[in-house]
Amino acid sequence: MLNSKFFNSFSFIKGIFYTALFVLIFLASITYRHIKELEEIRESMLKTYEISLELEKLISYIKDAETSDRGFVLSNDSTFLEPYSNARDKVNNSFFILRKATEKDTLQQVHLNRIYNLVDRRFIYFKKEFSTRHEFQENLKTGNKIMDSLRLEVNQMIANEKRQIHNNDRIYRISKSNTPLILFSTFLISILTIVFGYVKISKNYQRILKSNRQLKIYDELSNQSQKLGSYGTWIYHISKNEFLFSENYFNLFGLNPQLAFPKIDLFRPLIVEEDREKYRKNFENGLTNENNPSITFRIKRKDTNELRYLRTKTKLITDKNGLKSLICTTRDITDDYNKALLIEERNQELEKTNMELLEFNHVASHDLQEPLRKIQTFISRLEEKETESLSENGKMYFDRIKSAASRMRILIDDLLQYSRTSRSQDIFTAVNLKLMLSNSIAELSEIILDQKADIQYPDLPVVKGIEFQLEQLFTNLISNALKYSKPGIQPVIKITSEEITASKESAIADNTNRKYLKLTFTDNGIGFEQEFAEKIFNIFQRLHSKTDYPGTGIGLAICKKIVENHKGYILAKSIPNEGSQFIVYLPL
Amino acid sequence: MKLFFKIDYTILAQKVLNEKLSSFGLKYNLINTNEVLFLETVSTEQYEAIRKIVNEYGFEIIEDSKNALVQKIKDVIIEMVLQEEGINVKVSTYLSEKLGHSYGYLSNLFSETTYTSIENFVILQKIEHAKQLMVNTDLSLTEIAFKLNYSSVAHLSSQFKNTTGITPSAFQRIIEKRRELVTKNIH
Amino acid sequence: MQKDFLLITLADDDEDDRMFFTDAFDELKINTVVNTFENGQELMNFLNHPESILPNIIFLDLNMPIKNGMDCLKEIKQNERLKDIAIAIYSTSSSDADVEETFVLGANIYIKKPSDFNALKKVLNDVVTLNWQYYTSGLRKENFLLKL
Repeated sequence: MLNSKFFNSFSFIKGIFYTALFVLIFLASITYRHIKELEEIRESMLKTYEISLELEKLISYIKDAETSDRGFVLSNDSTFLEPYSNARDKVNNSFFILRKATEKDTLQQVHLNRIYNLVDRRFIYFKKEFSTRHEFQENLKTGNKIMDSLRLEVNQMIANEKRQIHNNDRIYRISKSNTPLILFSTFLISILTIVFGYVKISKNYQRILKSNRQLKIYDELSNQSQKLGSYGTWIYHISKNEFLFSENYFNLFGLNPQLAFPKIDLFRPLIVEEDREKYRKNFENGLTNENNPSITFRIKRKDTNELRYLRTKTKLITDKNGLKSLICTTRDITDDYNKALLIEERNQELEKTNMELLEFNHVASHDLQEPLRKIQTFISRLEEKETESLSENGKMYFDRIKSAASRMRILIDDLLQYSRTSRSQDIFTAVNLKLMLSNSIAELSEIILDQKADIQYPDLPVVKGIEFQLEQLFTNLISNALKYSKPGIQPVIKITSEEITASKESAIADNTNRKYLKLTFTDNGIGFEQEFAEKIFNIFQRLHSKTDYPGTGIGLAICKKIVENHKGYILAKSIPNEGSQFIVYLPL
Repeated sequence: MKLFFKIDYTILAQKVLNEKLSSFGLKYNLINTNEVLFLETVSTEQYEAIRKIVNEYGFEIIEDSKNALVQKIKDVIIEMVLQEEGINVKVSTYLSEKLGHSYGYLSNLFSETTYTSIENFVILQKIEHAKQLMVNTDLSLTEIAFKLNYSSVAHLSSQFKNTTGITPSAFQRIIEKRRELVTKNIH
Repeated sequence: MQKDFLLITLADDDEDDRMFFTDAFDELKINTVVNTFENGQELMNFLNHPESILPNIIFLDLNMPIKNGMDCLKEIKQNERLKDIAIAIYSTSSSDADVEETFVLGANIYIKKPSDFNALKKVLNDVVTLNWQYYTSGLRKENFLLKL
């Protein structure tokens, strides 16, 4: 949880900071108020003291006035009047001070007003003339009463002040007890905030240091990879018009990577002139287009002036602030290019040679037919007309010539057919296999009738292929089955068809899910040893002597060629004396 | 625009004969498409004149009865093949009944005169008719085989190939390509 | 104008083949007259000559100097006067596709030159007989196709 994104985000740190700040300010204001309070209390106390003092002074002044008045009355000495007149001023002064001091206290003001009135009255009584002793005594009494009232008021006032002091004292005591707590909390929170902040910042800092270290390593790795892979990169910050080239990018062009102020103009002139426009167009396109294709262009290295082929691709990226940059990867493909060229050259050579061989084969077979045909025709003429005049040996030799010529004819026919199958550049069309099969059967109808063969076949679909070749395939397979049938036994050839998926068929090399048509030709002929199952498809390969079974051994090779032309497969399975199975796979 | 014709040669022959023969002013009866009975004597000059004129239209006066019989055999066979249904009957029986001779006699006569056997001729006619159907109609090979009383398409194909040397499909292909060539040449 | 013999014409550049051809017809029972030409040009000269008797069947070898069989075939088929003559291509082996090509261009018969004299005789006999059938039995010439 401590590592969750929220806690590490900058907003969280900001939040914590602001909260701490707020708390501190709050606490500071509380502290300030607290101190202010203490100030006020102190002020208040001082004021109370002042008021009390003043009030006492006031009483004292009045007492003085009283005393001097009494003295005057007693002695009739005018010197006793001096303190009396001073007293009035002092009293006024006191009042002034007191009024000021009790400015804010209405209750005290009230008392003060009463005191003022009382003092006024007292002073009136001081000056009051009397004529009789009774008046004098009355004046005295009233004077004393006033003094009593005055004293009462003053005491009241003093009592009020005392009460205030008491209250303030109480508040002070309470505040006093809060002060340390507040101070301590303030201190604690400040400390915590500072520590927390420090820890966070320190952690982030460590992380950044670590990232930086890693980045340095990756950067170095990248450089090494680029060197090894022969590629370089650059980043173009579009709005700032700033290029940042990787170290190896320089190397690709044969430039020194330590150059002080790398600019794009260092590289552009090294591009071969004819390719410059292409490069420029691609660059421009990359600035605005998300999908910029890769291009190949040629350069001449600055150091060796060697012609190199470079392949480059740019990509437009936008960061979260909306700033666009163009990143580019460029690879030196000269080696691959050259290799590819070489391979193509060799391929073409091979194709040419192949074509020549096939041509030769075809021409040879074709041109050999002519003289052979003549030989055979003349042989047949001789046979008809002249053999009687030959000796026994002569007749035998003649027979041997005839059969040799015959064999040669079959061989050339087969070779010609083989070369035709190989040479074929025919395009694929839709071929009705059922029709091809019935054509084959019609082709072989004579032998089929002769041997009373039974051929069973199902409906076959239409596939893409070369009509003539597929018909030839069927003809060859069926004629093969008929040729190698058991003597005296009715040949039975069963043909079955099935649609299969390549991956499920272990017998064929294809491992994909391509669909094939699997045609199985089963016969009840003499069969062959399974170990020869692959050999029999080799050209000129025969398993029997030519006298037992006439043939050139090309028939099955032709079948294989045809199947290969159709990108299919052909296999053979057999048990000697029981029959053979030829399986043809044709892609659907 | 292409037009296909089915031509009734019988009507055609009759019309021609009538037209031509009537110009000689001789009384005659048209017994069959190929048999005319003159009710008057025909002079040698007239005979020659008639022969010349009808020759232009592909009519050949058959010189003798043997040839006439052979011609009859041919006609009967052609008719039989064209009819399409009546090929259930054995050819031999049909012919001998229709023409009033033993099949052996007919067979020998035919072979001597034409150098081919009746069987071959029948097959030839059937294949020819099959070719006609293939070229002029949209019928499938199966339908044609059925029409001509072959036991299967394979049988028809086999006989076709034996007679002509090419498969029915190859035949159709060639005819089609020939037609394409003609239209190409016109343009 | 009726002839009582069949006129057979062959165009073939090979001397031996011409010899086989004429010998074969000699030995057949059919009443035939055979004339041969060494190349296509000579054949066309003969055919185009207004006084020549037109043959019943023309046998054409394909590979001939000066003018080959294919060109002759095309020319003959485009000539009003000649286009109805039965044409037999008489050639050494060709692929099925080539054979079809000759049929498409108008040949009626394709013969692969046999390597046995008796076979040759039989083939020629069959061709002539069949052609005669077409001639005499009112069969459609356009459909006359034969491959031997």
